[in-house]
Amino acid sequence: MIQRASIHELRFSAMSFGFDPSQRILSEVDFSFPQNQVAKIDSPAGAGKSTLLKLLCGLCHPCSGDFLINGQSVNQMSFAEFVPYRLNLGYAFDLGGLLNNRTLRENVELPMLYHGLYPTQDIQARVDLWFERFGLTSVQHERPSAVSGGRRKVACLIRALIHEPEVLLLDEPTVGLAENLVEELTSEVRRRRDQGSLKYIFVVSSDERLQQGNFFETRICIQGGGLK
Amino acid sequence: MATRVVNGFWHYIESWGASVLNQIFYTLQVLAMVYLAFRATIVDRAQGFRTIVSVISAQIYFTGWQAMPLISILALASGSLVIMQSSFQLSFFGGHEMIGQLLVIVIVRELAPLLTALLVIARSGTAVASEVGNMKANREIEALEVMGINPLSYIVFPRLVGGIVSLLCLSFYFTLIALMGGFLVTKFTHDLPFSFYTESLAAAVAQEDIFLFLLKNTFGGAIIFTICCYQGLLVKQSPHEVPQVTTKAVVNSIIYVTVFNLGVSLWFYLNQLSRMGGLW
Repeated sequence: MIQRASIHELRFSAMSFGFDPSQRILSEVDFSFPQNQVAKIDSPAGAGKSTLLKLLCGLCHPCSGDFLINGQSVNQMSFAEFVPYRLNLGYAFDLGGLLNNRTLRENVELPMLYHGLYPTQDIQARVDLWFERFGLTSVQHERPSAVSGGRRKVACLIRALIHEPEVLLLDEPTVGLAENLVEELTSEVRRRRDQGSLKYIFVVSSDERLQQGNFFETRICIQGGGLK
Repeated sequence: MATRVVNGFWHYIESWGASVLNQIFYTLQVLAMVYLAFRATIVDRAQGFRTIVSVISAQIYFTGWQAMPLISILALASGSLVIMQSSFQLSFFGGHEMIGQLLVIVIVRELAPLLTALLVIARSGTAVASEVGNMKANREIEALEVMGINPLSYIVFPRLVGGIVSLLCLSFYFTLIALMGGFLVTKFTHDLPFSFYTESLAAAVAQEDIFLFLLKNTFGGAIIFTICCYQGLLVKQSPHEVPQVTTKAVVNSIIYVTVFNLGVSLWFYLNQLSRMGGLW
């Protein structure tokens, strides 16, 4: 069984990234990401908010420079070497991301069963609990295409949170979510952060409800090829 | 005038060379993917071997089990035709006792691997290419990566192994139905004793027939499912790319499988000829 690697530092070192080499989203960025704060990623539309999340979870690789986790360059790691860190990452997609040929329950169970993160009975109990809390019990055996967009979003959020990651990346997490579920999500994130189990929280969201609820504690702005 | 002809000739050679190089490059990329898929599953201590085995069994169910009715019809029809034609032609020339040998050559060595492969391409190759393509467009592949699940061990490896096992079993089933079912169908038109037929078949099957059968089906399955997974993974972002990659997967699979089967048969017969001293 692979052991999770604890994450205590996320840093960009002279990091540049762009899908098109002539148009860099980030250029020569040196940035140390803030710990224990709910960070809102901010930028004009299309300026690279979701791309920054992808960089942070290793789905995109820098064109030059380094993305360092605990001082180790992610660029230099193989897929297998990065897995212990990935087990401490939770990423909720803005759209898609659920396996269409699996039920909502199987989608949530998959990473925990695959990596043997908990005993099978514990996994069942955890999923039961989370599905109950977020109102998915009645549709747990349905495939993603058979449920509403809001429920798909909830399943995606549960999958990102259920294994208690240290780094949480949420891309438009509240789109299509009812008020009580938004409340449930924000309180769960705050509770975990206060407990110290959740160290880094990055959220891309334009939802006024999160803004009004003072969910965000800091802002990271993508501006002029840099981070502020 | 002469310069134009020479230039045209060089242009033709150039474009031919470029397409050959493209094919070589494509083959190398596909082979690299197979290597990486096996490495990811076996060498990199893939964690979810139980999950991978469940995906393999699902693949065998969809590709192998669900294709059996169609294979039965195809095998029965082609077996009946081959047995009817060959027994009639052989009796016409007085070579009735050769029936077993002829059927083994035509059905076991050639028809079963090729027809089964073509049917699997049409049925499952398209399904795999479009499924993987849709997974890519729907960001399911990205989701797997984020969860620390290597798509090569979770998507490619099970489809490859499941595909090979399915093709082997289906081809064996095809042979059985074609030889036995075909005989029963032609029983109404020909008076061929069953004992004579089975003895003739048993005497005709040799070690090299089994070798050729296994070689063609194992590599046929590997070719089909590797190409289909590879093409599916070529989808970048949009679902509109899925039909395009599916078509390309089918075309490439048919070309590679038929060329491979032809190559193996040619190699086998040239080898036999050279052993008999009939060549060089």
